Amino acid sequence: MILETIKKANSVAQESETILVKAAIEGNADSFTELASRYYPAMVAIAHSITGDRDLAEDAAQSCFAKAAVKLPQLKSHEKFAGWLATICRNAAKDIYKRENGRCKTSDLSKIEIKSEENDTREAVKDALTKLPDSDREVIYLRFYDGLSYEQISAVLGISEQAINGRLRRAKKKMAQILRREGFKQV
Amino acid sequence: MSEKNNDKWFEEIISKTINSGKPLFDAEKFKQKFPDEFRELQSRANKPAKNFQGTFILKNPVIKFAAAAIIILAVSLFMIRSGKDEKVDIPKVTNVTQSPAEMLTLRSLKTAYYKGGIEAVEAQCDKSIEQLKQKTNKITTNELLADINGT
Repeated sequence: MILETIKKANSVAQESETILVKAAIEGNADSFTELASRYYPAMVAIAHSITGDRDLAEDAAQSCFAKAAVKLPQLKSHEKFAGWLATICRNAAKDIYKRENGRCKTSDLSKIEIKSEENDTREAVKDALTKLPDSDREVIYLRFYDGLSYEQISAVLGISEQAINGRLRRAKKKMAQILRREGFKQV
Repeated sequence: MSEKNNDKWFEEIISKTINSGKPLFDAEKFKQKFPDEFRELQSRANKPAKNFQGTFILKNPVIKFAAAAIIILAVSLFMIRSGKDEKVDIPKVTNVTQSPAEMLTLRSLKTAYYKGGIEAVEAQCDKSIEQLKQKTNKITTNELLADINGT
């Protein structure tokens, strides 16, 4: 019963999204803004997993929506909007990362923090994240960035919720192994 | 620390590490930053809408097959109808002239015998000799052989 209700709710949400996509293709700015508001956090999370920097991630996400605004009529399957958007975002983030890599970022300077045990742990976690494969790091960012639901992650990555759960579990396991090698016994 | 608590602690530390506040989409800022793209998006609203009904009909695979079947049927009917009116020229069966060599084969002579007895066999022999007689004396051996063989 609950499962059926969830399935119905999902199909209604998908239907409303398809309507929004159609309207945005036809030039409805409000529909486009609604879509952008829905997917902006997920796009920032994807871009952050590539750039490793929040400001650059926001730039990449905005650039992604700018490209989407122009290329939207080329989208054939309206229900695949989220996956299509994620692809644009990954490319935008990679471009920005290549361009900005090597430059001294203002956000780096602001990250000079007082040494503490928690900061050390965070630095180690950050380091472990960089050592993960791209797809594992992406799913970790999507899940923990803004607590996106499995349903939203599923729409963006185009894989089932079970597959996301499995990928997430494997990613955490790999991170734990990396951290243990670094000397962290808590994980 | 139990495994469950450990996992919770781990998830919390991941969340604290990567989470730096909920990102919010600022539509006004977006319009200012990407005016050309936003203008292009809005410009599509002024364009005449596509005939979505027609697009939908052609996208439906069942309707596609039905349309194809109707077209094939109509073309077939048209071809059948137009075929009736046409007078087809049936090629006439012409008598193939046999060469003297062919006329004198056992099979040919046998057929002649069945058709008209010994008189027919004699007539066929005479006919073949007649054909050979028509040639001039200047004919070469090769030409004569070719003539006999009918090549």
